[in-house]
Amino acid sequence: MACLLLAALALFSLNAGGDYATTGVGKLFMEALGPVQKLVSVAGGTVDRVWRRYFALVGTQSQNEKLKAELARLKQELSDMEELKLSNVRLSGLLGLKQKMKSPVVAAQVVAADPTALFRTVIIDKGSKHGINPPMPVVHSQGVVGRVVAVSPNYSKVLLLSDPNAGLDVVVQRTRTRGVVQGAGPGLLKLKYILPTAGVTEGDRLIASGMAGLFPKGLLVGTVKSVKQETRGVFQEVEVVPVVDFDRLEEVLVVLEKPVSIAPEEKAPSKKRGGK
Amino acid sequence: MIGDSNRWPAMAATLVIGFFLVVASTTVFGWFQIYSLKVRPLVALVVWAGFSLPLIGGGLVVILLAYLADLVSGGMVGLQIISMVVVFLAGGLAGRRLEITAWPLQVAAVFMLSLLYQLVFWGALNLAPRLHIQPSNFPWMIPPQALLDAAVAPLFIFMVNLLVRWLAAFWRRMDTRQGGRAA
Repeated sequence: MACLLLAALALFSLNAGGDYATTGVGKLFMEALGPVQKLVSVAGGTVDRVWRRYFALVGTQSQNEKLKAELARLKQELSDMEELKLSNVRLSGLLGLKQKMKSPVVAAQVVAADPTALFRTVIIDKGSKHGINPPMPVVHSQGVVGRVVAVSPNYSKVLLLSDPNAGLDVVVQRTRTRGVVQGAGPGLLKLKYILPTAGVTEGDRLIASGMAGLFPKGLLVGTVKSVKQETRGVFQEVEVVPVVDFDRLEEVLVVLEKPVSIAPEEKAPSKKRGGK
Repeated sequence: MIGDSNRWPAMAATLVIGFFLVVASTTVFGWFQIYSLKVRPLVALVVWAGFSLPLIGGGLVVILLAYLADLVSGGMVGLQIISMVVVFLAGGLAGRRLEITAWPLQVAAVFMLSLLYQLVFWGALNLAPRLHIQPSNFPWMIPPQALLDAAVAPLFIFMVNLLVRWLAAFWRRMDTRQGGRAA
């Protein structure tokens, strides 16, 4: 019993001070888990589609079975086309972003999410074989997604911006005020170090500042949801809604090299109006 | 505790089901998330393993499964290992006096040990030298998460028992066949 506990403690201590990088054994297990996760995701998606778009229609009425079958078939076709259209829109968005990026990017599919509600990570189906390494930035046509924290040859773990351990240097687009965005759980971010004099208001858009050299400057991060004065301290409590819906991520782009900035037409119009 | 003849089938069943539960927890179970609450049948499996499996063999299986869970999670490697090993050992100690064959006992055991699992996890998270900021509502989510873990436990324990029985029958058939050939 003591041996088991000691072994567990030893493993914990060995890894406690390190970063997310996995060992050779870890990479091997990630490789073993990845295909199964991908298979379950794809199979689950198909079952979900079939369930929602076909079986839900069957058995609603006993009469006019032929008409119903025809209707179901047509609806299936329609929903398939809608699915294709939606995929097309998503992929066009990614393609547009890919063309605007000055750095090479790799498109990847999200195959799994974090099993705990404490951490916000996803697994994508591209890894070191495709040139991906920590801490490469991960983006989406809508904006910033997160950064790579661990890789195996064919899979990578991405720490989402909504994770409380993720942080990003941002600029408030309207006021040019700089701050740091930090994950605050599902569907919410916090903008930190904002003084009351900065003039940040509800609805302000936040963009990546490009200061840390990780994310391309100008990428959209989120919109300010509320601004309150902190009960203690000099800064304001600013809640931000991310532009990316992290729960519905399907495809992402991994930026392979250190980016300079995104193409000018994508950049926000900058008007200097006060700030910190 | 599982009898000697069923020891290997039980460990194999735990490993197989555990592997699929790790995969499912990152895919299928994520779709049924209620706010911050997620279905975590792996905890129920570890509790069952504590009550049913031998210390060394079961412990190694649990460490392997917890390591897999650590790999697919955003936490550091070791968090799940330490938490699950503690739960396994607690289950093993309780298993000396108690058997969780009836579903109310399974629910009660998983509820108690899920609380323990989350407290150890929380403690380890706070002790870790790397900064891990927890959501402010984390302590408040511990009891409802334990309730959810307990509620789904009988179903998954039934599945493991079913697989153990099936594997044990398969094992016996293989043994008989081999015995017949040797004779």
